[in-house]
Amino acid sequence: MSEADLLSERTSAASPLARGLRIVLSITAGALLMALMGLTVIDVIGRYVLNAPVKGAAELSELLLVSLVYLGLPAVCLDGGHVTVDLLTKSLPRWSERARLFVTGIVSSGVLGIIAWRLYAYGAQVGGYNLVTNSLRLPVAPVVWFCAVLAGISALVTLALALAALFKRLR
Amino acid sequence: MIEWPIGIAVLIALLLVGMPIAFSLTLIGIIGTASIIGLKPSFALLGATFFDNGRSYTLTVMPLFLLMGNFVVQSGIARELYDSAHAWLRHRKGGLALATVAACGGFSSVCGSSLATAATMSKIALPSMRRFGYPDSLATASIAAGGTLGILIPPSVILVFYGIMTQQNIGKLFMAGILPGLIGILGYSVAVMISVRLSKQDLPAEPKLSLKERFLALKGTAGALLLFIFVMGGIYLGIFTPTESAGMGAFGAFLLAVFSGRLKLSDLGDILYSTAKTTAMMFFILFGALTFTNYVNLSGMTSDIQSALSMFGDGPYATIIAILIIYLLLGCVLEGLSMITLTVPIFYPIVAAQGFDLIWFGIFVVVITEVSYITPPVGMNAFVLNTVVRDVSLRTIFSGLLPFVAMDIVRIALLIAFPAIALTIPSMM
Repeated sequence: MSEADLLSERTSAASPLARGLRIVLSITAGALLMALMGLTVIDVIGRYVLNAPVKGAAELSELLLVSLVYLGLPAVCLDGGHVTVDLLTKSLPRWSERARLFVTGIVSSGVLGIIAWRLYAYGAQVGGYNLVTNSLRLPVAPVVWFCAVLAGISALVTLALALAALFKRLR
Repeated sequence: MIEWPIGIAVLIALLLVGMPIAFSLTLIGIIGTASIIGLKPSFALLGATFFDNGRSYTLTVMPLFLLMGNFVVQSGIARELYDSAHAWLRHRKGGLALATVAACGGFSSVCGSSLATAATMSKIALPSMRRFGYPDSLATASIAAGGTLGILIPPSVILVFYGIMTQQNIGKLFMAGILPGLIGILGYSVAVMISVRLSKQDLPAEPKLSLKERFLALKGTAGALLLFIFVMGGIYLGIFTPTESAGMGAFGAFLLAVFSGRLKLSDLGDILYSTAKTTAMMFFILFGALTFTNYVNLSGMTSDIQSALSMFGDGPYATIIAILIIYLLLGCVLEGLSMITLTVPIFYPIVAAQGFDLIWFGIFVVVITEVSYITPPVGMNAFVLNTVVRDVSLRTIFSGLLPFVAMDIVRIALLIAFPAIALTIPSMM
């Protein structure tokens, strides 16, 4: 059970599509996470033991981190892992629950949509002046677009869950 | 320009209807900023905030320390720590609860999360305390309170969060958490003794072990101790950056988990997936907080609140006590991470202007957050215990926590009176 699960009480989506997405995300994000750890370890050992640090380790870590964060995002949305304040929501009348989940879901989805859109524009901006990393000269724009796409997927997942809240039977 | 109280009121309304905190902060940040500098520049800031802050070498500590904590949970270190502490404390009255507190402290030194510490220790310490007839209130409270040390004793995910928001050195923040953490262990031990004294039940003390047996039992602490010395020693001596030490720590914990034989491939998958999820969850709160901070800085909120706080009296101590009271009240209704992201952007410039050290303030905020984990109605660690032992009511857990909360108040008072408690170790780096 992760912190994200401990903090949230919402149920997670269980359709085949959701399961498939979860598997893809867990493999890719897991691989990136292990790569991030491995890269740091190899860099440290290289630097202190072999006197040969990994070239561009820091900037690779940075790109791995931001990709990891955005790969985790659809998973958090899918599993209802966002932190909420449930002080009042627990004591609201039951009939309002459906509407509440729908409205907060739609608004969240809208915010995610704006984020995706702005990331896309930001990617175009940094691509416009050909931003590359310092030593490896890796282009940054594709990573921004990758994040934009994942934010977009998160917006869709959140939207789907909001719509599902209207029709799903409440437990 | 929307006046900032409207922005805050809408933010609170969004939070109360259960809108995720990350998106509430983002939305109010965007709209508030737009109301001051216009929609276009507000949107223009957004892309950079949500990408550049994620592309940060310093912040790689977050997933790596989370990963380390998750591996440590799987490694069985918690059980070994508990057995060692038990060997030293078993002959005392309430020895099992004392051992729980000590083991929580030890576990906190390799795990940066309070919820994970409480969840892990509850599976180990609770069964034995119940078997020996400890009252439910004491058994659950010692774990819930001991677990809060997770965010104070380094590594600490919350301190990383604070460090990023206030641009403070994360290594120094970590070092600053050590002494207050030890004082926390002492305080909680006193709380256990008070609870034992107040309890009508006569708690059994087990026969004392010989000195030799006790020292042999220390063997169980080796894994955690090595990991802690390696990770924190590396930061303290300036050999590792926090990122490097987090990577090495995660790898060390990975090895411990592998060699313990408890890490199956399916566990590894779960750990990686849940670490990625927690990382994303926390980063989006951070991005939201930074978007919100843009608005706070533009709105003039800081100076307005500063003058409001000065009504409590003049001078830095009046300010800090006013802030303390606000935090204790907020802590009752908000979960820790939310409280920190909502308040730190507003308070830290005020506190810095009064001449307080921001490293010290970080520890101050984290200790108060610890209190928030164990105070009703929203006490996350009490909730965790409640999910582990369904048959113990929240009321029982919270009542057992009273002496522990009292000791926390003492600790905060000490921290205010003697800032050196936090600042001595970082000043020696």
